[in-house]
Amino acid sequence: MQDVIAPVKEFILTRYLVGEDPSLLTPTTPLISGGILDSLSTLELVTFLEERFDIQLEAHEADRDRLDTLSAIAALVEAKRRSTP
Amino acid sequence: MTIGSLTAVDEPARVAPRTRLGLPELTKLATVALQVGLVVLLAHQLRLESVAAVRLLTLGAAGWLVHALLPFRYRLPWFLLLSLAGIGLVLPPVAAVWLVGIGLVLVATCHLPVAFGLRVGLLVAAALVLAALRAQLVPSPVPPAVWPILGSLFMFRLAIYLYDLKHAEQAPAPIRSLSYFFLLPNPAFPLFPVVDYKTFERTYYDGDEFRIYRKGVEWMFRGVVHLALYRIVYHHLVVDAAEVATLGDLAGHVVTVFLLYLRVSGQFHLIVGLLQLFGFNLPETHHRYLLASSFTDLWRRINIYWKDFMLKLVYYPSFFRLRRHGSTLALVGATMLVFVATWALHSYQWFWLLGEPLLAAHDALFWGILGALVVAAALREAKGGRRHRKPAGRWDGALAARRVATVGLFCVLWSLWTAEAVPDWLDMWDAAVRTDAVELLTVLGGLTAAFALAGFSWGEGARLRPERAESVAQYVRSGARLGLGMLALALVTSPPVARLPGGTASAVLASVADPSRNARDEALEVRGYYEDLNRAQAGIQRGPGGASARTLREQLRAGGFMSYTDGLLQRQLAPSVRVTGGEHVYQTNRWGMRDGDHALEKPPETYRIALLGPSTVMGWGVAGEADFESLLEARLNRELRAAGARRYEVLNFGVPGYSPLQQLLQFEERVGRFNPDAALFVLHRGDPVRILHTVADAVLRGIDVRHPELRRVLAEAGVDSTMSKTRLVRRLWPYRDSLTDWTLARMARLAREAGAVPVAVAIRLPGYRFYRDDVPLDRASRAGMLTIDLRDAYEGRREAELHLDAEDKHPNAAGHAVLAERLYLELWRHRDALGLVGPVAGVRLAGPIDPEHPEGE
Repeated sequence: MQDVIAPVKEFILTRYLVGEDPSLLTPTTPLISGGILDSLSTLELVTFLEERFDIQLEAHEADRDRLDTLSAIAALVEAKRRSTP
Repeated sequence: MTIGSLTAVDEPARVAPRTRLGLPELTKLATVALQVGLVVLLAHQLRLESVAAVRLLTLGAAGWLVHALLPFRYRLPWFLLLSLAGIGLVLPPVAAVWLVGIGLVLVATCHLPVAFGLRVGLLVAAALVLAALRAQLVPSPVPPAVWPILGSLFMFRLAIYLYDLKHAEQAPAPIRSLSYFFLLPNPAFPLFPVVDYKTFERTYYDGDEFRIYRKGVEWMFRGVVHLALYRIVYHHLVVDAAEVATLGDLAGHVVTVFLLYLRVSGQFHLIVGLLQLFGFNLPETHHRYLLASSFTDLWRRINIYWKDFMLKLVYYPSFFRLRRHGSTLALVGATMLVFVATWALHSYQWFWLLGEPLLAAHDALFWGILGALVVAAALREAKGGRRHRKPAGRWDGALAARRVATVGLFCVLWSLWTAEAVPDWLDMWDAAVRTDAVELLTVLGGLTAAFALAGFSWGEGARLRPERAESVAQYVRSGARLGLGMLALALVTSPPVARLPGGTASAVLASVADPSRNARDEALEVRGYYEDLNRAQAGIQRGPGGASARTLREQLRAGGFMSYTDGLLQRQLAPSVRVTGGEHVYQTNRWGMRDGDHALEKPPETYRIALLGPSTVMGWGVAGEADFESLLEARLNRELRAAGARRYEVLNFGVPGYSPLQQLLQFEERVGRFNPDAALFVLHRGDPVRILHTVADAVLRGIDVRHPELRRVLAEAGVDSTMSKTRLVRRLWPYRDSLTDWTLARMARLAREAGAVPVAVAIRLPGYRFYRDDVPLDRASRAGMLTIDLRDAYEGRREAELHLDAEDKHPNAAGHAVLAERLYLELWRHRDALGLVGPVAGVRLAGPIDPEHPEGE
């Protein structure tokens, strides 16, 4: 999990949370419902995840269930990796 | 899925539900309960939105307390039960059964054990059948009141639900599905159709329950405040397009027309706040939309549920399909598709709520321009990177400029959307060059103030905040602060405070508790998109017994009750017709009056009163013998004639929709020949605007206007029949006072020449508040008319029991009885000026006894 959370956290901190205290971005911090990610940044995150972890996401997966926290994102990436032959 | 398998649920919550109800929990619960009680008190005091809304909020508040005390597993079933009870509370039983029945069929179809595509096909077929019934293309057994609520519950939620069902790993529990569709607030708030199913499911008790409750009650109060502000804007500030003559009017129009949106945001806060009380920790529907700093930002802040709906069903699927052609093309294409869909679906929503299609050029133009602006802003954001920097916390001029420009431009766009038509909207802008130094400074001052305020962060700084634990004492303290705010609002809007003398201030406070239409809308029935959709809300609350205003109007028209003339009078009642409308018979005599027969020549020893006015006078919605004219006539003859005085006749010249100008023309053409002793012209608020509309209608119909004064006004205003009605009224607007004065003065003169005492009688519809100057009684007095003010006739009575129903506020039989009683007393009070009793030798009249109107006073 940590190998996913760390780079994603770095991506979010440097793009959408400049100047914020990094320690406040925890694995359970709400990203979409907390207003940190909007529709455009969600798509940027999707592109980042696909390129960084070599996975393919579908439209219905770009939702709060899967992308709202670092933990959920890590779980999604892990599941995608497992399902990729 | 088996509908019959509904039982208590044991679904795991993300946060373990409380297992004990100790003193700390009881203390918190009592805190929330007090706040909820205050919100309900405010809803009753301010008569928020509608009778049904207040009832539903009361039911919800009472039901919440039981809900909060129930074991967790019984809460969702209780919520569903309450939601169904809410439907029963608002709709008549037969309509409620139809609604629930159709709803159950639709939900069950989603879960049929057949291929997903076939289920979608079946639902589309069902929707087409329902649409045909809704549009009355085929005879419909479904009561009309069902449609707006059914549309609200299913028109968008079915699409969201199917999407989530398709991608779900397991089928949702039946009770969750039914709770989602039959949401408690919808029967009274049909303008809340979109809720995301997954969010609804995911957020159910996903945090500490008392924090959720507190958020709910806070949002409900925020909703009340929005609605209170809306009423102030609506009753005191809004500038109609027809009133725009100068730069200041124009600025006032574009800003205030957008501020009417407070009603929508207020309703949404109330609705979501109520749902939060039942554990649905739903996100905000609006987030400080007046602080938007770009069009993408605005799109994300205003009507957020709609934006999320579009993201899910249109934007993301389109973007993922298009991205192989490049991210820029995908972004532009997906965003434009969102706005095309939004335009089409707003028309679709209009159809389900109101039963009419909405196809207007300015509607498409609004969504097209807004889409282009959002695309441009999105491209700029995408190219410039999406980096967000924590604000420094000090005043930011660039931010202020962006906010003022964004909201200002959106206000302009909104004025286009709410315009009658594009040419009318364009025509308004020539006012921008008409101003004077004082007005220009005022407009610039307003802009400067907006700019100064917009540069502050308003607490929008840090995006990351640690969540702190909270003690019971802290919870109670925060609740007490909110409760004090509620109490303060309840106090300043309470009837005793609102009645204090205070000029404008007391009028503003009084208007916060005024749910009725403002004078202009009462006269014109002109509203914007959301204002019009709120008609659906009113339509639901029709009483089961009364025919709706629209139906009655259609019945009278179909029965030939009205006849149309070529002159400025334009229409009158047809002579000797008998039409059944609603529950009553509408019959006219040989002269075209809804009255018994009267000879043209006044019988000897008879005091004859001519009563002129609009539908209220004609007796709209009541039996012919129950209108106040008939009751007055009967009482005059019963009490005064019995005492030895003369015979009394009251002739009912009422015609629906008549403005004072038409009353004047009617007097000129017909009434004078009946030699009345008194001519009572009945005035309503909004009459100056009605006069303008009478003139504008005449111009549009190419009617030759004979009166030199009117011809002069038309020539000066430069109007002709090629103009739209809005444009015509706008050109005539500066003449509204002079036309009113001319009408009243001519009424007085012609009446006196005919030997009648001219009387201006001000009345209002029950349930409508009135303000001192909303009927031109002072002008009538200056014109030489005797004035009688009946606007306070209903005071001290339950006005909701005096009108026909929630939609049609004309007085019912009881309301007419009140008017007749009061008018009788007023005539008696003015008996000398009217010559009402006359010299009858040897007769001494005691007169009516009324403690508020001492005899002879």
